[in-house]
Amino acid sequence: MNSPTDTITPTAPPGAGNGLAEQEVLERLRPLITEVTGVPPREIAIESVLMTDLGAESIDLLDLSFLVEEQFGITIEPNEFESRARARIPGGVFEKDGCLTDAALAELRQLLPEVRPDRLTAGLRRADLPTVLTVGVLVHLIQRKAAEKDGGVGHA
Amino acid sequence: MLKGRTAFVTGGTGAVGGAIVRVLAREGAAVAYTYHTAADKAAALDAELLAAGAHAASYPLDVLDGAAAAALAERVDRELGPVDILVNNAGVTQVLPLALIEEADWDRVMDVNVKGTFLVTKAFVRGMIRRRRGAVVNMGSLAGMRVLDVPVHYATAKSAIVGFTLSLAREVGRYGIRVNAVVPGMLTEGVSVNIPERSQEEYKRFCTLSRAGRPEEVAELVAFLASDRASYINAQAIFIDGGL
Repeated sequence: MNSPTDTITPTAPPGAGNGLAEQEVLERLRPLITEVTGVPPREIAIESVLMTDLGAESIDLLDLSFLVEEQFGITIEPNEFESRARARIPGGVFEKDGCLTDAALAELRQLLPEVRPDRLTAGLRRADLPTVLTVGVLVHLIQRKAAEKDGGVGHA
Repeated sequence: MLKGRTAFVTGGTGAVGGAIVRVLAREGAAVAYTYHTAADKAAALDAELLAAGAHAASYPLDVLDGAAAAALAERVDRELGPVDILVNNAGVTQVLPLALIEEADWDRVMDVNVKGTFLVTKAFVRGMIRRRRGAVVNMGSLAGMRVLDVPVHYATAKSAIVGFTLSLAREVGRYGIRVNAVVPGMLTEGVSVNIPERSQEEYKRFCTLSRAGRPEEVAELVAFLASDRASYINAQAIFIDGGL
């Protein structure tokens, strides 16, 4: 479990800062994460990994995405990050022998700067992708989606 | 019992599926049901339901087309309301001994019965999770639970439906979604008509009620499990076999 903190790690991808402020999103997101994981809001940090640090199961992430959609009025697609990474390597191989390719990992490292690079390394399987997602990833996704909805730049 | 609810039934034009559609509609649910190729039967059932004052509609669907199932889930949501009852009834069988079952035969029976259940459930369960409400009833069979003179691929598929039911019930119970299976024994109609006459007589001899069940009897159980009257029944495979 990460230590409680209100400090925001400056990891937001380009375009994520439009519209809602990072701290505001985090404050509105914490109760939703608490609802699906049972972890008290004060123990939810922006660098917390949803599954390993906060104990979320994969279906909890689906539930959380619904709560986020209702709370923020945005739409989160299934396999959001995988789809975006795939789109960035058209014609390229995303997965080989059950593991993500170097090209896929490189794109994911760019798409998910909030994730420690040592979590996005060779041997990671597609199905394991949700295990690396942090609260910060979700915060910045919400910021970007909200900005897109408001007609902002909002795309990484 | 089901007033204000919206139900989705796959394979609604078969003997059991049709009975389920009729009973759910009779109990007040708005019922969307699917057919694969039997458009004429669907039209006749639509007319019957309309005449009875039911709120029902039929839709063509290949349960192996996941994209079509997802699109239909959205369409039914718009046209009849959010689905809170899903009945996975569509299924196929064929009468062959294992030694004569070709790989394509095996795949077809497993696909329609098992993969189709997965794809259709996936299309609807997201909405149920979002609304934190739902009841899923899967159609099993005694073929998958007892030593019977039935095709091996069909028995395997129906046994898988029970595993699907138990696991899914565990997964989505936290969202107020109940998942159960009904396990009919020999019926007077439906796939049971494929059972050899000798085996039918044997079934009746060992059945405490000494007869085959009727599709309507299965449908009544489905409607009960789908209703709030069964609010504490979850992760069960309930036999309806006349007492074997």
